[in-house]
Amino acid sequence: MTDHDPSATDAAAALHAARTAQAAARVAQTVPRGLVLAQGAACAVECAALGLAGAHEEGAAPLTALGLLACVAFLVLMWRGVRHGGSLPRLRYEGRAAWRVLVVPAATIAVGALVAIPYGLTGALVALGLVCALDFWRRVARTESA
Amino acid sequence: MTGTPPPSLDRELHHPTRLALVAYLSSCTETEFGVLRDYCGISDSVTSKTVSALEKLGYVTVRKGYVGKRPRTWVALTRQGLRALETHLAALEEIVATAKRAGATAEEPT
Repeated sequence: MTDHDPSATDAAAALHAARTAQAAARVAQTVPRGLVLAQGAACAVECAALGLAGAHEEGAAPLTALGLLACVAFLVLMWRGVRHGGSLPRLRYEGRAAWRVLVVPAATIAVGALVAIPYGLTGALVALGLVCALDFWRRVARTESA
Repeated sequence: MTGTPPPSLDRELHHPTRLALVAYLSSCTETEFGVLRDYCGISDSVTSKTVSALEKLGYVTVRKGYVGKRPRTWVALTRQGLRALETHLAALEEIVATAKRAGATAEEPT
């Protein structure tokens, strides 16, 4: 292109190139299926182990150790996930109402709170871990069906 | 005519490499230098010059660090850069839309 205004053909080509670059960046950020599944599993193990550690005095130490280990694994997996492909994803909520962004976290907390009524903190943490894992796995299913 | 002036092209984003680089960055919070170089299909030197020019304009920021012992450079688009890109793309869309309208008018039977 020159310094003059581009022709319609040049403009369309430039637009296409820009949209292709934006799409390529989004594709490069797609986290591998196995990594997301591992994130969900680590989250479930972390919450469940820490929750059960409070309910079983004899197994408290190994369960706490397992929970902390899973916590570290979860953080490492999350870090690898967001840094996958050399790009840090941009948070985008375009086209989605603010309340829709909050639905999943709010539902997760609500499930944890409801389970806490009959089963206490142990039940709440186990439920929280399972719901979080389900959310991670739901994301994989949604990405694959898209 | 409306009161809003049409979006204008950004001369700094005319070059295809600059446009591709900025557009790629617009979908990321930050990206490794090597990823940009590979996507644009250009050399380290050209990528470095392009990023430096965009940094001087305030369109991108550059952060240097290490992954293990390996030095890495990350590039991120600034708000100013994002606004410039959005305006530039809007201007390009306007040019295409105007041409389409003109084409449709010319094809209308008289």
